Amino acid sequence: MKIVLSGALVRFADYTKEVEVEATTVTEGLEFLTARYPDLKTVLLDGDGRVRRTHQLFLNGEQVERGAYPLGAAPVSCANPDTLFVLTAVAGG
Amino acid sequence: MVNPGAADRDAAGTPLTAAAFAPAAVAGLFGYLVPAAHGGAGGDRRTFGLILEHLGHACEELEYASLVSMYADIPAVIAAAGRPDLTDRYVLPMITGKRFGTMAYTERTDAFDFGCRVIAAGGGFEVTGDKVLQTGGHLADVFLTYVRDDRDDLRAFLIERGDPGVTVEPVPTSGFKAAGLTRLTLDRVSLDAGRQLVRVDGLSHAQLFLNQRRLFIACPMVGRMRAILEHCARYLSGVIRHGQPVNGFQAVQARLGRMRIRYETSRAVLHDALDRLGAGDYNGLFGPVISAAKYAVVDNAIALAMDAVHLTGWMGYSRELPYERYLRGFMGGIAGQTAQDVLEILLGNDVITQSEFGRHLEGVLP
Repeated sequence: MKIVLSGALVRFADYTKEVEVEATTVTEGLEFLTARYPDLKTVLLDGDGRVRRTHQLFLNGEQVERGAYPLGAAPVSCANPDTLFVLTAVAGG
Repeated sequence: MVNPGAADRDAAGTPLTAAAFAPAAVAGLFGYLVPAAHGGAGGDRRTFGLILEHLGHACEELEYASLVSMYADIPAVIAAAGRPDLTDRYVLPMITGKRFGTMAYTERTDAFDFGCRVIAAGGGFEVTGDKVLQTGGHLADVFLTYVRDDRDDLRAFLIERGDPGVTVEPVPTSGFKAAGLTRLTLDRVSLDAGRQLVRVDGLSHAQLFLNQRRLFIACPMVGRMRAILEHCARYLSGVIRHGQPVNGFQAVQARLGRMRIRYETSRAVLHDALDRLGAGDYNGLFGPVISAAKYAVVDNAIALAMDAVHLTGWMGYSRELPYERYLRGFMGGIAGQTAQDVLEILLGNDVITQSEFGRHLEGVLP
């Protein structure tokens, strides 16, 4: 599966926008991603280990519901050539 | 006219007083967005935006409507926690204008690098750091403050002006002076556990709050644009050049026409965005239409005030007329409610992502 990062997240993945991961679920893909880029982990995940709501996930263009992708929750299957888009838009005050 | 004395306050750099907001409290504006279960009116954000637009038209001072919106939003976001203790301590006094609250989010760095920190201490918390800009902080005695914890997650706390270790200082600006912008410094401020409003993922909490607020900076601007247009047309009818009122010249008529276009298009995009906001037809985490509307209104408002200065010459640049003050006020929108340049980047990224979605689907669909 390919994971495509956007916005501020790219900085925490050594400015890599697209990452190929070995995964059969979205959760596995995110674990693979954060293992490769440890700095990304605290940015992508909140203090309880769930993907922050401000990062929206789209698998092949279809939004993955928030309840479906916290780490450790029921897996959402994926395979090649699936693409997981991580949309991040962080605004200021 | 609502709340006269705007020009004098601007000249002296004096912020609005608490007394100026008493009529807003009596009118129910501070409780308008608070659910009825927490003592409010349970009103919708679309209608509130329209109220702010009217306030912007009636009030000589953009800052007034801006502060009304902040002082109305804070009790609403606290009430959303559904905690009776917070409703009694904060929400109800805020509704009646006895207490004011503002948001303390901005630092001189990205949210992921915030330097304001919280640690657990004595069964509660201890917070240290600087927040560089709050709107209406001069009257606020409660600051909704976002800080990083030891897991690098953001949490939100309700910090009171009277808490030991809290310092609130004014931040001088070139315009928008009556808004009472402040800097909040926190030096090992001890908080009991009940002051924590958001335990986890405060970043998303802040983003949801900011996104639904973004339009509120634009609403009074559209009202003020209309007021400038009306005022300018009246003023020009009394200016004589070549023996006749200048509004008889086509160049002047064309400039007024451009101002009208800026106002009408701003009002149209604002109302469309407010309709979407009211219908829940927007992405709460980043609404491109809402963001584009804020951007467009600010840009148009600055251009319209410039038009007014062009039309009125040195009078428009002097304090004889209010246009230069409005221009400085509108320019606050370049930075406020997410800077215009940041919005460009976020909107551009959104376009690119949508395009990549499309490319991906073209590649996998038969």
